[in-house]
Amino acid sequence: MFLTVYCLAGCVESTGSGDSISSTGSGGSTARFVIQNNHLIVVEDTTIRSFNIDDAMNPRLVDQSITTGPRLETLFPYAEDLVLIGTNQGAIIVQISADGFIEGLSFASHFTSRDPVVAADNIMYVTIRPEENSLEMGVVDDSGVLSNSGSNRLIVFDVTDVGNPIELVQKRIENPSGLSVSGDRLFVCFTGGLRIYDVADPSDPQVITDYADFPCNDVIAVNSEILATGDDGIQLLDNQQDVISLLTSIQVGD
Amino acid sequence: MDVQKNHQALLKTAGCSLLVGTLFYLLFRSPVLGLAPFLTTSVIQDHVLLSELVGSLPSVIFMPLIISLTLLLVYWKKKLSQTIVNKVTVNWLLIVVFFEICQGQQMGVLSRGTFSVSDIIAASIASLVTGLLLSRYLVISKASSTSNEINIWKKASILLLGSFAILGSAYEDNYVSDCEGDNSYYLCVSEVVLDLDELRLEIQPDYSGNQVLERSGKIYQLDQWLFVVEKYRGIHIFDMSDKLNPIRQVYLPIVGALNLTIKDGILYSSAFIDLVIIDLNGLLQNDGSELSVVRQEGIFQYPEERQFFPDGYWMNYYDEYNSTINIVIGYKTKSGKDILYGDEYDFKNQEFDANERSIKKAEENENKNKNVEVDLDDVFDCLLFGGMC
Repeated sequence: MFLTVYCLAGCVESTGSGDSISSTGSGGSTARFVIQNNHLIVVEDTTIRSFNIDDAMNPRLVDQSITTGPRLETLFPYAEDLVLIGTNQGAIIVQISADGFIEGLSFASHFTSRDPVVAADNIMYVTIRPEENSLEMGVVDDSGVLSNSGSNRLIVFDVTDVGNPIELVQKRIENPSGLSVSGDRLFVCFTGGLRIYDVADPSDPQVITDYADFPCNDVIAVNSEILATGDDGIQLLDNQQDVISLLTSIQVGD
Repeated sequence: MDVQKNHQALLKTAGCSLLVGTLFYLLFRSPVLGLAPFLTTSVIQDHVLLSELVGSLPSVIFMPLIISLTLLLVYWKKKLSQTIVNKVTVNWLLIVVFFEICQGQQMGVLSRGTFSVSDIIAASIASLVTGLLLSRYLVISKASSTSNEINIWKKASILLLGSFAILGSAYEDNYVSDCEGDNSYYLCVSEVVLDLDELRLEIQPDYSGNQVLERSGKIYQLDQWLFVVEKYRGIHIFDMSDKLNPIRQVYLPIVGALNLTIKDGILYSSAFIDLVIIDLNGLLQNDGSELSVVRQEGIFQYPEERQFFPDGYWMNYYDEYNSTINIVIGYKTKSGKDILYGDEYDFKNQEFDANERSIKKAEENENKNKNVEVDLDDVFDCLLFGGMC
């Protein structure tokens, strides 16, 4: 899955072959620097910038866009020329033109929270959680729809029409942060460790397992491996079997 | 007759400086006397010249007091000569300068207070003026009085008393901070800043493998390479070819690093306000070629000034901060610890205890101050009313 994502991002070869280095890799769902459509895209606070890197060592600012409301927190390159921006007020989808200009496409709004966002195969996944120092005020009605400001959930959108994201479903999950999608599986970091959903039917994600042993705040699923990263260090997990197992870890203090 | 006139002149001088001194302490240093601050110190600190003047005023007041008192006590009922006045003045000036210099050194109790050149200048001017004034108004015999044999004990006790007074008047800088007097005194911090020169130090790749991961930040995975940000400090690069045994390939010390991405072997990293561009091709092979680095300066926003500060902090507002030449990267605690980049710090246990200790010490010092003042007052009263001690 990730192969498609970064090949669409403009790479020539997908995985390492010999000594040469792939064009791009993966930075997870909490990245603020990404490459899309041959441009370096950077967010900070309320500004998104696009740099031309044809002369790789000398980036040149092409375009910048300043939002008046949402604080921009994460970036995720998607499809050929799209960037999904996680903000504290919802996910924004922008397009990066071939010459580096940033065009706003849509805004999938929810309520004040913090949220990384990823997407694959026309489905966008957003996690939202309370902003630090704010009380959770969410009220959910019987059908599970958020009827007030609130957070602590996973929201799935259909982005077949990127100009008009359609919400498919919301799932409650305690304090979720980084997430990653690989094939039919969605990996989400949350209070209880690492949660794995089956998203074969994206409108009805099913929890497969929670792994309390793998605490994380961001996760990168690539091929048969998973990188889970947190305050204590990084864990490399084997995703080839039904049960995920630890391959190795790089701990703080190592 | 001559002697009486001398007594009057000396008493007037001593009395005036004592009066001015008491007023000064009441107005500007009331905490030393255990009273509530009379003037908000920030008013004074806003003006550099005023704060310098106020800081050095005790030296000015002190010199006439101690010189005239010495002359009164030691040369009671004795004839004064110009030589004696000069000797006393110069000796006291030397002693004061000695103590002031001690304040600049690590010398235990002798180093109490803060060293300041302006104090020395102030003391010198005050001695000169006092010496001149006394020479003018005292009745001084022309001949040097060889008959004026002074009791060595008297001399020594005056010297000791004066020295105590100088030590006692030593004045702790922290008394005049906005943090002072609050019960969360231990949350009093000042800022630690990073100069842009330090931000832009040359990046030297470290292949030693000794750099330990301490503050795990964002990661980036590319082929067998894993990039791990050491928050605000640099980037570790691991070789994950052997999945069970990652190898530390190289560490890049990049001050302010937080975010990174890679395209075609070129790494783009944030470095606070700068964008750093590094060619990975030679670096990952470790082929000995020189690291190719480009830094684009001032691309990004300055971090929020108080970003790395603890909750509920108090601030020493005389810290200078200029966001165009440096970046605030942390804070210094009351006990002198630097806590950088928002690292966690147990204020309650670490700082509160240290603060309790320092409060105790401050109280002891205050008592000492009071004692010295009482001594001086006693001497003065005794001189004023009893004539003899």
